[in-house]
Amino acid sequence: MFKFSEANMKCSDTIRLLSRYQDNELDETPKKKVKDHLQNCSNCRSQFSTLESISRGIVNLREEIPDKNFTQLVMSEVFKRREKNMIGPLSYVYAVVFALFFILGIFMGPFSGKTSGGNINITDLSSIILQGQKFTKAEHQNSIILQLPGGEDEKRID
Amino acid sequence: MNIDKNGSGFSDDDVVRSVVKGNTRNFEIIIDRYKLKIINFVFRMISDYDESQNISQEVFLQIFKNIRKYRENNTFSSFIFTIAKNTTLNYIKKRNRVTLFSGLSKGGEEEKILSNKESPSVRLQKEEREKLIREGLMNMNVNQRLALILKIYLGFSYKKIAEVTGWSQPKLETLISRGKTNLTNYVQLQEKGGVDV
Repeated sequence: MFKFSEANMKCSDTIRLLSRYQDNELDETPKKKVKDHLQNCSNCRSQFSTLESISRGIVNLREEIPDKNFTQLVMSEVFKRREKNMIGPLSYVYAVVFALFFILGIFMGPFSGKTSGGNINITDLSSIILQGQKFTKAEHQNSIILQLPGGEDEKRID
Repeated sequence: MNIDKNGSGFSDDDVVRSVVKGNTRNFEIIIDRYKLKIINFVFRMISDYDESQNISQEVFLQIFKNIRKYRENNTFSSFIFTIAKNTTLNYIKKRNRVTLFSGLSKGGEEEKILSNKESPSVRLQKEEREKLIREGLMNMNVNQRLALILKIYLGFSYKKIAEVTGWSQPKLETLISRGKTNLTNYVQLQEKGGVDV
């Protein structure tokens, strides 16, 4: 690493530090040494002036103007995406609710759609109507039996 | 906190806090404050006016999307130029090539005629220099170009460039120094002999 022990800086050391000097990124001591050197060395001064000219060239590049409706375009997209993000979590909720109903439907299906199969708690009832058919409750040992009036269909509940 | 449409008297951090709280409309203030610098940063990186408008729009959308990630221990401009840098580099990578200076400056000729009171020869000289600088930037390594634009066009300190790019101080010093040398060599070579590089 370069050390600043010499009273007068060499050209090679100055050139090495020239970019940082130009960018004002040197500490006070090396900065002063480069500055002193530049005052006394026309070659290094010329190199420094070339760097300055190139940098001015970058600074002075013409600025492009944003489209007139740039802000509006971005904002309308921002609002669109925000809405999407709000609908996103809601659709998740809808999906969960749908899944719950679906699962309930599977377990309750026999209760609402069939006259046989499935478990029904009718302990406190004497009869039940399923799809227009009236079943009566009959207790047999430890089981409860649902019977159609004609006795052609039955469901045993243990 | 009531922030007016221009956000005057309010810092970037004030505006960001209000956007995070749900005042989405205030994001307009951020766009209006930074759009010129973002578009010109992107334009200097890719030298294509239309694409720089599109990329800049995407930059602001990314800023909005990530605004909750902004931490006030860094400056807001470091935050947004990090996003601008990433979006632009992704675009460059995607295209896998950068179109050599194409002069796609919208309405450029008109602006020059309306705004320039210099003599034709001085104007021509300046235009030629500007063209060479743009070409030189596009010809150099993309990291050197990025370093020069952050340092010279945006005037960022080395510390801030390190924040935006994640580069170490020695690395960015080397990139800036080599970038300046390469650009100088390119411009001088073209001005002397017009030799293609």
